[in-house]
Amino acid sequence: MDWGALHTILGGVNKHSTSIGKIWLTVLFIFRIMILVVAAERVWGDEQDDFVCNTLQPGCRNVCYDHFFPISHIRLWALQLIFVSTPALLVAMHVAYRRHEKKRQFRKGDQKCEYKDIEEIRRQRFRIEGSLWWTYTGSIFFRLVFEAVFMYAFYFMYDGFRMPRLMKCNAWPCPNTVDCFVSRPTEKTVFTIFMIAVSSICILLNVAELCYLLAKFFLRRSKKAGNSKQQPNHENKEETKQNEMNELISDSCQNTVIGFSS
Amino acid sequence: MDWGTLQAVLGGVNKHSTSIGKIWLTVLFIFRIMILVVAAERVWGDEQQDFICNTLQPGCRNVCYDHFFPISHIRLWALQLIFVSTPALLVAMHVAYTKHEKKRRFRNGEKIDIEDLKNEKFHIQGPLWWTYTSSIFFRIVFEAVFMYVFYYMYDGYQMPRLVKCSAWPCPNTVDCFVSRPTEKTTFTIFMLAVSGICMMLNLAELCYLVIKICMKEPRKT
Repeated sequence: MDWGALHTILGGVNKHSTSIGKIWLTVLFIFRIMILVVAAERVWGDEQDDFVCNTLQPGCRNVCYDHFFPISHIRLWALQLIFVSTPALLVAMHVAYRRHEKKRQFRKGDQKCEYKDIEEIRRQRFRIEGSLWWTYTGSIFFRLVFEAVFMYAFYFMYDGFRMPRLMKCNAWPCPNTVDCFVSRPTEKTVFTIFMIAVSSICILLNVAELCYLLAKFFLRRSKKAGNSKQQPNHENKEETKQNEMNELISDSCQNTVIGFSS
Repeated sequence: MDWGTLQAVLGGVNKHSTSIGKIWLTVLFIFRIMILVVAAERVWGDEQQDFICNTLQPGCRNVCYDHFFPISHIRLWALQLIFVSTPALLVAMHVAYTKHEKKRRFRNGEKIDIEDLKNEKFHIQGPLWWTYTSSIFFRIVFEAVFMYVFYYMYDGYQMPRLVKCSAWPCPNTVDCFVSRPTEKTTFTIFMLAVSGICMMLNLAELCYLVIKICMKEPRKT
């Protein structure tokens, strides 16, 4: 069970997403998960081995490393990506439940069921309306919350997004104050800023999707309200049209009759 | 044979589970197995290399590491996940046996509901109910046992920064420093929390099944 398996699971969710949702999923996999696996893990790979302190005191390096890096950036990103991907599974579960219900109706021979065979139900793409709209919107909301929480956790834990070159440590058993040097600080700063930037882009995409869904919801409601008002006028128009046609037919009939007789 | 294969095997069981069972399976795979593979194994990766003791005595570090970490957290979690996943296979075996029996009866010319056989969905009733319920019971027992083993072996769920070791051949008492204790404590608490959630899901499923059977009984009478 690794990132590939998560990719398979979320790929199925893709079918029922909006276009913005599909873009978000692509950004997540290519610019976040792939960058994490292919690049960031190598950058942080030797973080403890090459964390060097200016002391011979055994244990001082361990303690200082633990003091300055309570949770490594890589692990925080892995947790962030897992938590941010998971709300999409709520949508997948809801779709699976709806499909299951339609299959059950189909098997019972319900007249209302408009599918010709079970394959059609399996392939069908559900529109985002009704209870599915609420599930989908809820999942986007949770995604936003998780993204924001993790960005704040990063900022809070590391006092900003920059990785310093030197840290001064005086935790026991280090004698007095000891200088400790971080491995690859510039490269780590670059990747941290990159991941933060992509995280912000993902937040913007989620906000845009949320606005789109809300706009769609309100438009649909106003259309429904508009349709119900127009119904009586529509019927009148039909009647007048029919009357005109009847007149035309009767006129042409009369002309034909006159023509014959003369 | 690795976690991917286990996922393939248990994916088949998913079809015959209740909704709560499906949620449990998702939590197991995404929040436990995936976290273990993707994050926790890296955190514990250098646990013996960076376990440092304040002594030059050869062998002291090895002995102290072995004394304080009889079984590594990672191995305990792997065992826990395997034991906790396995009862679901009882259900899979029972379903396979029932299917085999139905096919045999069909071939012998007996009239059976062909729709049910085609759809391959078995309702959780009769002997399958007992198998399913006992598999959930065993899951709960295994979870609880492992949680207790963790607590007992490591005196709680916190990883200390410093452990004082006086096992032979270490001279007197030696200070030994654990690698990444805070990160390890964080992940231990996370895995414990998810384990608690899984246990609650199992309890909920057990209650649901018991209520279901109790509701069926009065209807029959």
